[in-house]
Amino acid sequence: MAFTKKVTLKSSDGELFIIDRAVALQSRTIQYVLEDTNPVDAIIPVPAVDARTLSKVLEYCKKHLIDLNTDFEDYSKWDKDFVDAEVWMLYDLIMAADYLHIPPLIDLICDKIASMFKGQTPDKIREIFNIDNDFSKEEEEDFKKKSGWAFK
Amino acid sequence: MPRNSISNLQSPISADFYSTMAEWANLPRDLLHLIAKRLDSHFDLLRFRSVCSSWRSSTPSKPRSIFSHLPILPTTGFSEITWAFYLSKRSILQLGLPDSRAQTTPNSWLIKIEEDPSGVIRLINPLTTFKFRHLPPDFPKTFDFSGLRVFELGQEYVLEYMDYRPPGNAYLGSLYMEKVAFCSGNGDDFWLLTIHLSGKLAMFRSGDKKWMIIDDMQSPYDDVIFFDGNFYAVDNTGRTVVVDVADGSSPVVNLAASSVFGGDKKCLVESEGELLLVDTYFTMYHDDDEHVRWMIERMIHFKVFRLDQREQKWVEIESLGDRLLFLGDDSSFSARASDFYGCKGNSICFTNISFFSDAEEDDASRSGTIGVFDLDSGSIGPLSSYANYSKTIWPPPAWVSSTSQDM
Repeated sequence: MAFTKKVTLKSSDGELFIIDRAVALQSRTIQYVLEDTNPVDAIIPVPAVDARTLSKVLEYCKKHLIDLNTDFEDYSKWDKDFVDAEVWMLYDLIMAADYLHIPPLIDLICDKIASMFKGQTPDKIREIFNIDNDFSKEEEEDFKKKSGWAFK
Repeated sequence: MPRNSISNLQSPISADFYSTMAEWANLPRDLLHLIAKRLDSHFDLLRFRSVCSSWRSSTPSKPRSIFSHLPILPTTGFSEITWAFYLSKRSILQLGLPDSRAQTTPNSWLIKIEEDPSGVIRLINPLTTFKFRHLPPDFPKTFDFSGLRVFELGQEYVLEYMDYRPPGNAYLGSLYMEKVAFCSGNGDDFWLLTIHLSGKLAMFRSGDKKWMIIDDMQSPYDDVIFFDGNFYAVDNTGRTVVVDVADGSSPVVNLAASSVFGGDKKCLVESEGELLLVDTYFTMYHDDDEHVRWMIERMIHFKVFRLDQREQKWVEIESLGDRLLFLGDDSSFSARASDFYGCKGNSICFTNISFFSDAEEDDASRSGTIGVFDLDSGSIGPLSSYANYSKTIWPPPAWVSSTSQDM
């Protein structure tokens, strides 16, 4: 049996995750930590990511490590299901992926978020993402004027 | 296989703990920028920037027109008859009222628009080149679409021959009937792929002085499309190639799918992120008038295939589900049938001269050359016999008059 090196990550809320080193290396942030300090059996803190989000991120890293050879279609189906999540979860995931620096995961979530914007009005986007409209009435009128279509 | 142990230690933390407010408005700028980069429709970007001030400041606006200079291209290497091509761009849009709890009747409207250099928008029949000149009296002079859902279903690029050097009245002729696929590069750079009169592929790169004719041809090409970051071209046997725009030397052609043979004309169309091939079967019929006998191609049947990229072959599909395919004169696109009142999916709208009629009721929409094919029943007929399909195009739905910005 192959010997697998393990790494322990500690989430912001104190949970420990013992994972294969190869899984952890998909995070460039962790890669730098391991290269710089080479902590043997040490626990690497991940202070910006809570346990729920970290376990989801690690699920992604695991899948993308083991299944490097599965065919393209299965892979994209899995990715699609992975980001079929609540809006707050997408937020936690993208912040975690950004902090841990996992570019393919950032791309995946950005694709998902951009697809949620397609065709929607600004009002609807604010509703979906719970964003306050901080423009003044004058500004809004101005946008409308500039973006209106003059038909002939 | 080693089993990965993600050890979830017992944790008493409740779900509430995680519901710290997601602050989408304050997403880091680089992430906002990555998201905005994916909004390739001008309309989606415009809306993204209208959500809140931090999103607005994260991303610069894009000019509405893609050309910062006059879109005049040489014809050198392509045709020696005329002096230049004029390249125009049109957008095919699906407009609709936003979903509301009270109102769930589908109400989308399909339009094609072209903006001239002065910023005036022209409304064109989405499948043909007919410009609607007589808008209804209550049609808004300035159209406010900020409260509407806007889906950009496609874009089309059209090359028109220019006869004379400007200034002067350059004659624009649309004798050139092949479709044009467009790929944008960095900044103002772009590539075009179209079909030369010889049936070979012709490519143009912005800034070049002449067209490149690509010699690879087993059978004359029927159609071109820009799909998923690549140029695709299909010949009249269904053999499909990817045309790689390698920087520098000549473009490289690689096989994407083998021939399917079958029908008479092949057309490429994108539907829900998939590339489809529509194979059209013709019959010839003649129409005698006093002096001339016309031979006219009439569509009688269609088959639809999807691309299996791995096997490099086209696989026939039984049903398009809720999708409607539109095969227009200058572009092909698809839409969700259930967004349009009274339309069923698994159908194809197409243009064919054989449906042309002089009937007066066609004057308003000039949809007389459009036909509908129902894959379920195999039935085919002019758009005028499918009242609900016809209304997707003309007249504008009643809600349009309420979008006026006019005081």
